[in-house]
Amino acid sequence: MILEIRNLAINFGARCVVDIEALDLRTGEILGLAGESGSGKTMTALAIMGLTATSGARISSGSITVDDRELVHQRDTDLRRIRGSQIAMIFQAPVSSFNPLFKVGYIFIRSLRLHGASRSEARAHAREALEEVMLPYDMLERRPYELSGGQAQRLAIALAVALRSQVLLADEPTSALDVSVQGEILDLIRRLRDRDGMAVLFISHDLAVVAELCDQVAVMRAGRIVEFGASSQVLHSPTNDYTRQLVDSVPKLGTRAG
Amino acid sequence: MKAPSLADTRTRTAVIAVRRNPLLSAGAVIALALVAAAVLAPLVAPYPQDAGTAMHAGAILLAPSWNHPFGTDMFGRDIFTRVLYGARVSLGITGLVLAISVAIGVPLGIVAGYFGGFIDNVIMRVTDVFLAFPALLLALAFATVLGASTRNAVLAIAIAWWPWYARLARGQAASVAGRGFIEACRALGVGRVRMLWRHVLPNSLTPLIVSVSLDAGGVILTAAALSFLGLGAQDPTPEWGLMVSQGQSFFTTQWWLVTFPGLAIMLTAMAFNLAGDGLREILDPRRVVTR
Repeated sequence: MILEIRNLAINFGARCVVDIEALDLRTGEILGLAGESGSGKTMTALAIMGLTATSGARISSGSITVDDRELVHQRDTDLRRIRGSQIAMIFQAPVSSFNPLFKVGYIFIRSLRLHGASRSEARAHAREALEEVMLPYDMLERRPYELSGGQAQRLAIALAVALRSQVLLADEPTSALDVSVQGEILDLIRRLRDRDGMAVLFISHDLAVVAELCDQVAVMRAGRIVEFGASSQVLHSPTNDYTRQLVDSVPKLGTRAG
Repeated sequence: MKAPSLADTRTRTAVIAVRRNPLLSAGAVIALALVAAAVLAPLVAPYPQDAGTAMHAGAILLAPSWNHPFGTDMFGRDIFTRVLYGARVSLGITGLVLAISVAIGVPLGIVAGYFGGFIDNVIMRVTDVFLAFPALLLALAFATVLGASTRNAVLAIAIAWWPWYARLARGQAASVAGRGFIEACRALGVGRVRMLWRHVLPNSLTPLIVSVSLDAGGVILTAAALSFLGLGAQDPTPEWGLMVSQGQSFFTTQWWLVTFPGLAIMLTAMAFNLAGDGLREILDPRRVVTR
């Protein structure tokens, strides 16, 4: 088990926003985290990164381990070494995830150097990673505002690959992209899982995408996991009322909501 | 065959913007002339020794002429020379004041804006205390306490000035802190110092550059005001405000003592204001050029 969450509780002041009993992620598995806005999906991902504090929330109890290493309430300097190198995160707005003042290549090299690669290693890893996400090497010469959304998201994923991350937290990575590009990104994530055995926590409110991509799915509501299981089973024959409502709320082609 | 890079295009756009903007051109030309005057003063000035303690008993209060284009003062010193050297003093004071103010205000503002919360409150309440008084009044008070000298005038003005940059930097940093790449940087394990220095600061700079260039005029005026009131540069420093102050008792009969340094102050302040306005127009992409 690469990622284990046990009895995780996150608070905003006195209000509990996440309360997860158990959530596991295996190497080579894509786990979907579905649920409506505000259900605690992103907060869970931030907790894994150790970044809840920046949004004013606090982990009040529980345990998160990555590769058997406890992450909750560790010193920030220790967590910084894990962020990026072991766990990578990609975001909904890929273009704005890059500092507009730097060339993409600089961002790659800096990030790799930050985690201990030498200059030549950094360059080599960046090259391999770009090949893996099927982008030309000269993409590194571009600046962020010269990228399309799909290219930027590919580059964000390539950065995770270059950093040799074992766990990828994908927070709505396709929600801002149009459907054809969405498909390419999903293919890419699937390929990384198959080739590198990357473990992916795929956060999405889009059940169609979750059903297509994920092996397992956890449905969150108001900070709790209300249903968990193989994605085909959960999404085709949900046992929980809320999941059923969520599944039914997806508009289908040829039908019209009454 | 290489397509023109975006940087080239941007430079070209900037050049066009400067050409289309007569105010900026005028401001920039005057400001450059001033810098040239400051740098070249020893070469251009007809009587370099008059910038110092020289006295010429035989040439007191001469009206402007070919020998003394701006006339001479009550010690027989060539005013043209002193106005040229005055550019050095004024630009030096302005540069130092702005540098000190930026060096204090911007880091504090960036820290306040990025971290928010308690630190933000502490820093901003301190700036509130400073901003509660008019800048000139505060500078006067500090200059009085520190004692009258050019160096103390610089310190006094800088003390009154930095809170503005702290405020401005705070607002910028707070908005930058909410942008996606900051979150992405955190997720990559970027540390706090690097985050502030390489990511927050550079993305907060544009309005600061504009503000600093607009403020140069104000600083020159404030420095002149301090010297005029006897709280800044002391004789024989060829400071424009001081020259106006010394010349005022001769104003009704020897108008040139006050007029030329006064014009220099006015031109300089105006030049920096024009250049600052122009810069703002160029650097603000939301502003549509209407001409």
